[in-house]
Amino acid sequence: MATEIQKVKETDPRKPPHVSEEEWRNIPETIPDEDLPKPIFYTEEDWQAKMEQQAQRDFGMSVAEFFEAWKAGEFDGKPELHTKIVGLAMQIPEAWDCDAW
Amino acid sequence: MTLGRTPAEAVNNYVESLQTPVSCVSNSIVTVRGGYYVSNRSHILELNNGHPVRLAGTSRLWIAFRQYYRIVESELPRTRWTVIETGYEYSIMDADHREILAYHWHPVGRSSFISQHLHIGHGALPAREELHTAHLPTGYVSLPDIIRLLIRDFIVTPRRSDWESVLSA
Repeated sequence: MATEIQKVKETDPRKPPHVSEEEWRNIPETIPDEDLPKPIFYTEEDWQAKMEQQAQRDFGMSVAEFFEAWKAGEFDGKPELHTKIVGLAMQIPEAWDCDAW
Repeated sequence: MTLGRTPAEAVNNYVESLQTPVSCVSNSIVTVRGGYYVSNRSHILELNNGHPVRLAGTSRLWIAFRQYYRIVESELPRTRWTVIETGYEYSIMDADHREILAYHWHPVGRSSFISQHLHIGHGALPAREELHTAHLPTGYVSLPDIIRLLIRDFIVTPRRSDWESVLSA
């Protein structure tokens, strides 16, 4: 016999239709704030190193080289790169003030 | 609007407020670039060091996001500082990391895309070719909006039963 809690869960209007009743029963009611992962704050140097990795991975060049190429319009007409361009350019403070957007 | 008695407190409150909606679909960590000081330039935060995060559910989707914010003086007494968003990138990707949807808000320049917009990516094929280059206008889209979309319409399985109330808070 289902417990009262199980009965409530089985008719829970919060359950998305694609989630099975069995799955829903195994999902915790909540996650206490104290159990959430704590954000990580990077130093400026660490973030710069991360950006360099991103520039190499996405464009095969340094951040400085990317910035110059972007300003020169070398990525114009490449919509497939748009999200990667936005994702790196917005991390370059000087890029916010330039008209290459 | 996230408030604090100091810039650092406002930032901490803001970043922690993002970790809660994230917990509806992932246990990934929000990472921040410095970002405690008042500046005319925007600070940055992102999920999982900018790497896409796998979401639970049969749709095998991934999400990545990055947000930009500034710390400004509040007009409220006792809570002198507040954090305001200045930009974002939210990407929903398929199992091969092809973009399905990308919500963008980035600075204004020579492009004519002066407000928040949506891109339909190649992960959404088949679609009209124009859609892959179009900047479809949207209003402001929040992180809870994106997570609600994933759970309701992209059959992502939530990690907590109280997801609706969390995302509506």
